[in-house]
Amino acid sequence: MLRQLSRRNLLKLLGGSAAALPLANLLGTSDAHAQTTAPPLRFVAIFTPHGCLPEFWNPQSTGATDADFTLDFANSMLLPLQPHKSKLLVVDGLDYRVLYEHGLTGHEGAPVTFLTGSKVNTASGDDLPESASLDQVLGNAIGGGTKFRSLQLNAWEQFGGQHVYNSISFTANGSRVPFERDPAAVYQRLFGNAPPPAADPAEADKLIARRKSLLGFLTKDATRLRDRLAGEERQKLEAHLEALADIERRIGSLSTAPNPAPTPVPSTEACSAGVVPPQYGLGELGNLARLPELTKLHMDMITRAFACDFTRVATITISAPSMPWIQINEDVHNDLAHRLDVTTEPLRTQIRTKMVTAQRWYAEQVAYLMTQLASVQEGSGTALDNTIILWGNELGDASGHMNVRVPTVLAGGAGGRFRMGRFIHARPAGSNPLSGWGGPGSPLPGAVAHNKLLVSIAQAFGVNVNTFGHPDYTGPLAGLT
Amino acid sequence: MRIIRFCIPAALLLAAASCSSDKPGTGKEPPEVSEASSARVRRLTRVEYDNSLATVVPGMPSLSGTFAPEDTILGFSTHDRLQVTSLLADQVDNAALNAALFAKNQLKIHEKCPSGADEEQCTTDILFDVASRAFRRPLTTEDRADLLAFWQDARKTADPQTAHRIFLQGIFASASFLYRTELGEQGEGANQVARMTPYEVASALSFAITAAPPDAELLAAAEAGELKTADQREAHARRLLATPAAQKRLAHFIREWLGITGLANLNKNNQVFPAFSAAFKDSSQAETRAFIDHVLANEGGSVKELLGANYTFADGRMSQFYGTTSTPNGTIGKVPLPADRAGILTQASVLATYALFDSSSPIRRGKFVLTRLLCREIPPPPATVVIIPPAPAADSTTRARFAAHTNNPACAGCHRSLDPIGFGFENFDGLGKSRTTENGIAVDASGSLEHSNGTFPFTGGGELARFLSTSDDVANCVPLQLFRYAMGREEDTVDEQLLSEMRTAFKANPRLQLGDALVSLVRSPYFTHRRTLSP
Repeated sequence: MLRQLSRRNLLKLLGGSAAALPLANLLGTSDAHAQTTAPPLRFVAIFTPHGCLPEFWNPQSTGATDADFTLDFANSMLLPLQPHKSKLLVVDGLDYRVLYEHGLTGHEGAPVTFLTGSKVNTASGDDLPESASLDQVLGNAIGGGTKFRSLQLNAWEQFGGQHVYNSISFTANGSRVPFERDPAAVYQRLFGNAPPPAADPAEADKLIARRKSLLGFLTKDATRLRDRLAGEERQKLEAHLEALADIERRIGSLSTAPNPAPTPVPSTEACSAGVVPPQYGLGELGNLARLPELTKLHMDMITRAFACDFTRVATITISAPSMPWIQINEDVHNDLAHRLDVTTEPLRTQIRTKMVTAQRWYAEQVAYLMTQLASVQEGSGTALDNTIILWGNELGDASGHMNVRVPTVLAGGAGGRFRMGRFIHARPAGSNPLSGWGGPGSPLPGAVAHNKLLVSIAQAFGVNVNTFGHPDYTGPLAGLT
Repeated sequence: MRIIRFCIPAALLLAAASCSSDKPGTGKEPPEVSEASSARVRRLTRVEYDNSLATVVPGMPSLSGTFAPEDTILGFSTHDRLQVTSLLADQVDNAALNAALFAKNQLKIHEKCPSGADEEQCTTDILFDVASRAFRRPLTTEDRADLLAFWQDARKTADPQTAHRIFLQGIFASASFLYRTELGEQGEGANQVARMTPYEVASALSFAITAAPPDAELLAAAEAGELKTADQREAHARRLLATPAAQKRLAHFIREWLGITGLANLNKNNQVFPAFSAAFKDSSQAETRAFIDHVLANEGGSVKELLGANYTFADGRMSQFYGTTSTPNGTIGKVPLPADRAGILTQASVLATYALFDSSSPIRRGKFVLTRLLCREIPPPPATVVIIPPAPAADSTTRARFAAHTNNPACAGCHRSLDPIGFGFENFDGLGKSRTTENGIAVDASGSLEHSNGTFPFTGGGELARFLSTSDDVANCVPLQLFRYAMGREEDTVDEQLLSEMRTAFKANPRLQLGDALVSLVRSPYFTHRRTLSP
């Protein structure tokens, strides 16, 4: 904690973004050196739909600096996050620039580009990116020591399957990474294969040997098939072999020996398997009324997985077509988001008030995750201190259905990598890149590509890149550190 | 355009047929075609995984219910991009464990092979037979060596029964089980047109028709080299088409083709649609399921019947909803449809799927007909256009609200073909209920469809459905959709000949029977040849 504070102060002293990058790299090196004591940094990406009303989304300024802001005002969409204000970095003026300059905007573009920074490729008849998402890149870079490189969750999926609106995680070849929507299954995956505690060590050794012979055969068999293939077909088996390597890596943790992770052991209470999520049938998993409780259970799973250091990377999509539990029986998309520009009263106020209610509910879920993570003690801080939460959205101003000025919130202590507790503008407040835009494929002047934020987060995790996704957009986002 | 108008002369394609009587795998037979689609491997879908387990170990319960669902490409979940991700590998690991426990109890190897000098031989004879059936082919020398090493390794740390379990778990989670190959014999050069192995042909044929691995007869035919001719493959295809498994597969095709796999989770505003309820959803789903099953079982899978039937299978609730006579006791059964409806397109399930939460959607219905039934492509709206469907209004009709599209020149291009189709369905509301007025205003359900021979003007969805049931455009589209579903990929230049044959076979019978198109697919030499991969 001391070390983080001193670094934070150092960064403050140095100020300016020009100095930030080399310094971050320098500190990254010292991190590696100090890894035996530092808790690991984690990443959570949360994706929610429908855009916002910018005037109600953005914090209100209360003073001269970017730390002087409040979320407590009439119609504030982020109101539930006010208690966590010191661990928020609200970024105004970030644009899905690649969607405008390279093809396709709209609903379909956002989930595809949110974590990939890629353009949308429609060659397959489906909307897919051309490169991997940030969670996959981070998982491959930092997840090697944990049981799972990353977790992909979906709070509620109406149609059960994956499609362009509900998937934010992609492999390097642009395929969707499947998500889990059943908290009980996540629990089973996280904790289910652990042997009974205090097993006879000789018996535990045998169990490990058996798992190893199984994995040995599976790897040999898949390798033989891989060796007959080339190109994309070979890629399939490469991915399969990586998945087998994941399982193999977890074999060691079946033993009764303590987890060799170099981190301070989190409180056993937070990590313990604890209460098992209820078994929902497939029908109930598709029941919209269950969405709030499913969301909380998923958030609990993320917290537990972090507390146990089972993974350091998680993504979750939370998308509610309507929200009967807060008396929003309309279709949020068609009846609220699309109609924010209605001018007749009292309809206008009714619609906008409901939109505030809907977005506030999503903010509540983010606040819940933050509170849960803050309850896990880690050294002198909490798991929240060592987490970067990226909360992104499908659209900017909902009434225009635009992919510019997309509501973006960084949350958590970010392990000191970013200077939290601020409301910043990525581009001048009031600027509108669309006013000078010539149409699809032409430049979007003055826009700030969200790719820069992806670069910044990747760098915070020690991934040494200067672009993320589309190569047009280089460098990190100014003003985060 | 997906169809590439490049045609390879047929004479070039059909090289002299081979008369070789060699056993498969010994000696090279020349390929029958000069070009072929690329060699590949296909991961089993969830259903195919279950069916494969049940084929190897009869009685095996379904274990894939908890697997991550397949995503869809071109609307189909059976595509060849499916992978084993980290998540799926864990889920398969669990499923394979349960499958192994079940299989172990069925096989009772410990009773058949008591400990003693012959234990290993006796055990591996049984286990290797399971492996061979799981891999859908005879084991190679390499397979046998690996499997023997695996068995011995497992047996070292475990008692016999546990070792059986470990071995079987390995089989049911192995790449050889999870992927079916279309690679041809090992040792073919790179980038060559080659025959698939007889066992690969048997699998491709069987999975295309039944979503399951080859049965004993197909495997025997593969071993005897009796899948080489089109007639041989047709005989097996016809035999399999008569099985319940084939009907299930075709029913799944119809649901994915028509985009109605999400019926269980359909959600409607019941302040706007008072008839909507969980019970309604169940009744509506049951109707569509029963109707599809009937068309497949009793009408030969006729698409003409599917789209044009003047009856449906309704319970009391659906009969009342449609305003038709009910079965005497209100249980589901065959009832006549009112004249404004015809076939599956005017069933509530389809009409409600292609609608919004609180209103109908001419755009969704128009797009559905164009893309799924006529195989036309609709480009996404231009990025310059703000896409905001007009809000429901109490003093207007859906048609009037949506008509604004055609006024915007940027939108008019596509909406000129989309809207007139969708508007023609305006005699059905967002739940599929028949209506003559909306908000007190008379509904205008006049529409028109541009087709390859001209324009078809119509009034109401029923009239359009009857037209489509005999339309040449639909008859050309359905084989393409079936090709995408069965082959698991988008069509390419090399498929032109094959698709043309499928269309001819499909249209030969005016009833347009799905099975004829499938038979034509497996008859084709393009079905049995692949271009080998070049590393």
